[in-house]
Amino acid sequence: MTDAHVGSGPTPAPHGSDRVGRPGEIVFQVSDIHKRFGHVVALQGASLALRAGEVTALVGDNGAGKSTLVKVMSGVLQPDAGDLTVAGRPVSLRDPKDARAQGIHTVFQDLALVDALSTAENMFLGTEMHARIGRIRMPWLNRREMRRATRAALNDLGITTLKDVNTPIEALSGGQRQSVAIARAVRDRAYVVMLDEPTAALGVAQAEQVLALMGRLRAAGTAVLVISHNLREVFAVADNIVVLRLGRVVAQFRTSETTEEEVVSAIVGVSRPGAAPQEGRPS
Amino acid sequence: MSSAPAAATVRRRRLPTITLGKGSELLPLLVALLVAVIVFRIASPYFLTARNLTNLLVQVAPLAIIAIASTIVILMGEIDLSLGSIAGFTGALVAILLANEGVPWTIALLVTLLAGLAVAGLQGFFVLVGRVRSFAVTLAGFFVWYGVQVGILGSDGQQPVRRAPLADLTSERIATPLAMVVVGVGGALLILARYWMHARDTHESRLTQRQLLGTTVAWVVALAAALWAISYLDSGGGIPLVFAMALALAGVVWFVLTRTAYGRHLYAVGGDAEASRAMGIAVGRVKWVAFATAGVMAAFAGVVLVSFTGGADASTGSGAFMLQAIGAAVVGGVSLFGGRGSVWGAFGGAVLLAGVQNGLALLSLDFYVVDIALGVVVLAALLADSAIRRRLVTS
Repeated sequence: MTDAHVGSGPTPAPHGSDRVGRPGEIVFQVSDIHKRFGHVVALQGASLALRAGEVTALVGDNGAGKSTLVKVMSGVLQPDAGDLTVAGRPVSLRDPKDARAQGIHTVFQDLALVDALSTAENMFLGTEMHARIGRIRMPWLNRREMRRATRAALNDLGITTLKDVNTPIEALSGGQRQSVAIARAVRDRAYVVMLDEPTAALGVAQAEQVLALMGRLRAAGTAVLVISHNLREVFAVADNIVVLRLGRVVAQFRTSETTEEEVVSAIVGVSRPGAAPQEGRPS
Repeated sequence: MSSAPAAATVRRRRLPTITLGKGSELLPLLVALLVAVIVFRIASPYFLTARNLTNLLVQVAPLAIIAIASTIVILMGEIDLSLGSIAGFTGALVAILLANEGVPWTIALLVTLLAGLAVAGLQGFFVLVGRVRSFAVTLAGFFVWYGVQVGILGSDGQQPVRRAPLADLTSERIATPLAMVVVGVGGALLILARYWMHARDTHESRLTQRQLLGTTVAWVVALAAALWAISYLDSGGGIPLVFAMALALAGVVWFVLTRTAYGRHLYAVGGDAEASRAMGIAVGRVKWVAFATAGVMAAFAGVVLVSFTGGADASTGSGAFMLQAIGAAVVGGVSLFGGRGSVWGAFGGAVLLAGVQNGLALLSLDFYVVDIALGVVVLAALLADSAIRRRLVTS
């Protein structure tokens, strides 16, 4: 009989523990990142630190460099210059697989879900579990165990709206799809989860689900980075707000100590008091 | 006033639950098969005779094999228009090899299958590395391999094949007692295994106890029908070996597509190549393997065709044959956009198209009527499929 077993599962994250750092400790830091596309300068010395158990919102106008920075942080793009450190150790992220191996997961706007496949199939896409007989890995999949693990991952995040993990993604609502993508990201001991405009295509109720999910990630000690244009949502969920303009971090705020007006001023480049120094931790 | 919209709502909700169920996409095909059987039985008393049905099963085999090969390629979001002419070329190759008494049939078969692998693999290479659309590459391949086929056959334009066992491939029959034992025991074990897997952990299963009992009864009825069909076909000579081989091939491909990581990746690549790439799937490798595998199957279909016609000639594995195979896949619910469909659907589609051809041939209708009828069947299947999917999306 076949045993339940994680076959070609994800690469274990560093240190083998469930968390990189204690709440508030920096788990992922990028410093002085530069990136050009031909003559276009996308990032010019951007720096950012993500802390365990905190949600950081990355905001900025269109073209500020938010998506480019997240792509550099997720291994999709290579920086022209700059350093990346995970738990204080310098790392080089050659591709998203490298990032995932470091416990850094990104949910892009397109979610990278395959519509025709089920929730469970999407959850393990590329990291399928194989059946085993004794210690021998069989060529066929352990579908039962993957369904069980999918249910467990969804339950861990408090995602209760998905009743059947065999449901194809195309039959899910936008919020449910986003939830599946996030659950997939955090299934593999994610220390850092980055979300690119997670609520952009969602209705109010579905957006609330996703924001609640971010709150649960924070409670679990995960460092969360969220790109958003919606300041109401940013203020609802984020602990810190980082403002990017013209490829530079121009301001950082503690959400509890700032206002929407102040953040908007930083985004559009109108000087207002209260903005923290560019490289410092939000006060 | 309020009851009509309510009824419409109920209908809209129920239909998707049918179409979303595994295997339910085969429902239109099964209905079409049933209609075809009834119509041709009424039109010709000879249609359902054991002799005609065994002949039909032989005719189905090469078409089903190419349809399965096409399905693999279509599922990953590509198309291979050259599979028919690869079958023709490899059929000519095996015929020439078998004409030389010094070449063992096993070597001839091996070389032929490797030739199919090589040419389809080469085309896959052009698609993936040359970044040319598979439609264009395989259209070119269609002409090239047809030309090679004609070139191999030389001025005679044909090469008879008389050497056993390949020449007898389509005339061999499986002994009925053996078929009964294999299907009976195998089917019973499958039903028991399926029941046990669902029953051992009911919350893992999507089926309620009542549904589980219902589907198990349906499987038992299907097994009984299969056993009855085998005994009925005994008077027509028995189950053709080549049909059993096509069926076994479909079973193996089904297993690979639905139970292995490669199969899952193939569906994923066909459904959304970018998402698959983002999840670390080697999209190019998945596609190349699919092209090459389809080529091997086309080569095997070429061998079957040569056996069926008693030799190779320039008409073996024509373009029409290829298009029928694609039509069979489409009729069986395989989406031309990739990512959706099943190998059993394609197999059933091949049975339907071959059955329609067979039935119309019994009526002594002109060839053009047969072609028109096949076109109508394919179009009707596409319209039915489209209507179901639209309903699914809008609900």
